[in-house]
Parts: sequence; structure tokens; C-alpha cells
Amino acid sequence: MSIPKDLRYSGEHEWVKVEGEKARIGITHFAQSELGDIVFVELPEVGAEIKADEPFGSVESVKTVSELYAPINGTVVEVNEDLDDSPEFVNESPYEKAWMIVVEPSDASEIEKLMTAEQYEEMTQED
Amino acid sequence: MANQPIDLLMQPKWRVIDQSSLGPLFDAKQSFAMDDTLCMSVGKGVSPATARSWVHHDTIVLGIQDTRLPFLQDGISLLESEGYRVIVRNSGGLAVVLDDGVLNISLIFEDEKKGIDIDKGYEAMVELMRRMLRPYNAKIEAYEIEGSYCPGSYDLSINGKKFAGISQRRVRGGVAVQIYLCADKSGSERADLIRRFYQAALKDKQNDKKGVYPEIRPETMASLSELLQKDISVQDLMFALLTELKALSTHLYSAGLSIDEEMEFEKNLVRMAERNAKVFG
Repeated sequence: MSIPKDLRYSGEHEWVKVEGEKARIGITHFAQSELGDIVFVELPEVGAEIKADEPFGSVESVKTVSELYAPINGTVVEVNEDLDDSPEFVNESPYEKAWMIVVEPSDASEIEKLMTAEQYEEMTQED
Repeated sequence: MANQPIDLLMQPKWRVIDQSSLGPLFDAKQSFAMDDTLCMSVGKGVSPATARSWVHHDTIVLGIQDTRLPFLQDGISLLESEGYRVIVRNSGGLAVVLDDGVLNISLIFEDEKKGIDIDKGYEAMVELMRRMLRPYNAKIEAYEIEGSYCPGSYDLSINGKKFAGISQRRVRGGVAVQIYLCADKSGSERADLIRRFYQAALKDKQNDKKGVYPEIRPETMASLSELLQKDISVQDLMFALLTELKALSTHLYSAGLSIDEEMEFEKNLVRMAERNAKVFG
């Protein structure tokens, strides 16, 4: 599986893409493949504050529900409403069509502390 | 996680929390907040694997997907008019009936470091149920029962009739595998209630429904007492649970929440209350 080099990653399998002053967030290919067919995505509303390492939503697959943990602190400025009707995007296109939220980070330097693609790849290959 | 379901069940220590006789004031939101709390403790390694038993009176627990029903409020009104409390849980699946004839069991395990062996958790629960029900000499099968409420691959059935369903939730390094076991009363009456709930909540949108809501055929569900033609109570199943866990462990002990867990529980309960307030207004 290829892990995009231009993104940063959290230990809870979220990716973060820096877009100017904002950060786009979703879950990784690894996470979606472990969860199986996603049937529902629960996301916060625009304006919600997210806190690093705290849940901001959940994904439900045919097998389980998993919390989504915020990789950084910030304010939600955009939510991917397409996932309401098409949760399968998370399986089909985790890095593109299935972005989940866009946030204005409280402290952009937090993103630098997340894992690089190489570090994330190493983590998912452990054990 | 272990390689075989039985390895998961054979824990050096099993912590037990019995909440099966707390009565009608025990709110189901507390149960889901409890399991999140225990997931965190087990995930962090401060608690061993934990089995929690729980019973709620006259409660309908909706799944997250049910919150998108087009006429949800009408469905809820129907349930409330029949004397049921309605809550939304945070684990997978769709609406289920909990009453004093239904024993719920949560098994809480530590998750694997990098990922997730989802089927193992389910299989461990199925194995435990087979052991608990072995004295009744019935063939227990695990496959989806079409026409049942909250259908899934790990529906438990005898002769094609479902008496139990399993869901799962993963929180901070812990996995909660939750089962509801219909001990007594009528399984088909429970199913009929959920059938009428979906009818009220979908109305004529049955065909263009957003989620996948089941078309319930009440005759596909039954309680263990009905299926085995014996009086099997929640207490009987509790006894079987403790007997099996004792056989599977060198140390079985009962322990309520620690002070840290109590604090975490309060936070999780607030989250459950907020989730429910969002849905019910």
C-alpha cells in the first residue's frame, strides 16, 4: 500500500494535509482496510472545537465502531458532507474523496510533531 | 491479541463487574459510558480483561445509523407510548430491545498495538456463549439471520431463530465486544416492536431509505426459553457466565471502578448525554 509522502500521520491512523493556513484530515488506507466496509461516518459540525487526542467523531463499519481522534487542536471550518450519502468513499478513496474535516489549527507547529510517511509506514509494519 | 478465540478467553485474570440487577433506574447511557471507561483501562493495561454483565428495563437502544431515519421522532414517540425509554448507543448496529429478560455481556480486551483483529473478538464471544449454553445441548450457530432486528454476521441462533446479537466498539487501545442474550419472554414480540418502530420512522420512504434498515419478520426471533422449551432466566445465564469465566481463568475477581475510572466514567457519561441530546433535542 502506498502512503502519501506529503501528509503527516497520527498514531491513531489519521492523516493531516496542510493547505495554507488550514489542515485537511482523514483516516489512512491502513485504518480503512482494517475496519472493513464503512457504513456510516459521524463528524462534528462546522465551528466545533477539536482537541488533540480527543474524539471528534466515529466511523462505523459492518464489523465495529471506532472513534476518530483529533491529531491536532483547532476549529472545524469544513465538513465532508458527501460522506453522509457515500461512506464507502472511505474505503475507495481514503486520501482524496474521503477527507473528513478541514480545521484551522490553533498551533500549526503541532502538525510538524506528527509522523512522517516513513515513520507511519514503520509503525504499521511493526509486530 | 491471541491467535484463537479460546486464547482470548483464557486470561490469567478476569475482572468481573456485575450490573445485572441494578433495577429500572439504571440508565443504558451509563452502560455505554462504563464500557468506554473500561476499554481505556484495559487498553492502558491498568485493568485486566473485564467482563461486565448488565440488564436494563424497558429500553430501546438505537444504533448510530438509526439517527438518520426520516421520521425518527415518530418512531421514538411510538416506543415511548409503549413505555420504553430510548437511547442511542455508540457501538455498531441498529435498534435493539433491552428489558429485564435480556442479559447483556461486555467482554473488554486489550487491542493489538497497530491494529485490529475484529473477527477474533466476535469469535471469542461466540465461543463463550457456546460454553455457557453447552448444558442445554443445542446447536448454536453464528450467521446473519435475515428478518431479525440489528442483523449481523455474528447473530446467534438455534434452528434458524435468533436469540442474541453482538456488536463491537474500539476505544483507546481497548475493544468492547457486547452481546445481548434474550433469556426469556417472547423474542417475536420484541421483534414486532422494532418492526413497528421502523414502520413509523420510515413511513413511505421504505424504499428510498438512506441507511440499510432491516425488514423485520418477527418470527425469526425467539428467546432461549422459547427455543429450548425450558425456563431460562437472566440469573441462570449469569451463573453460567461466572462458571465459565472461572474455568477459563486462574483468578476471577469482582471489582468496581477505581477513583480514576470513576472520573473517566463521568466524562464518558457526559459524552453519551451530549450524543443523545443531539439526537433527541
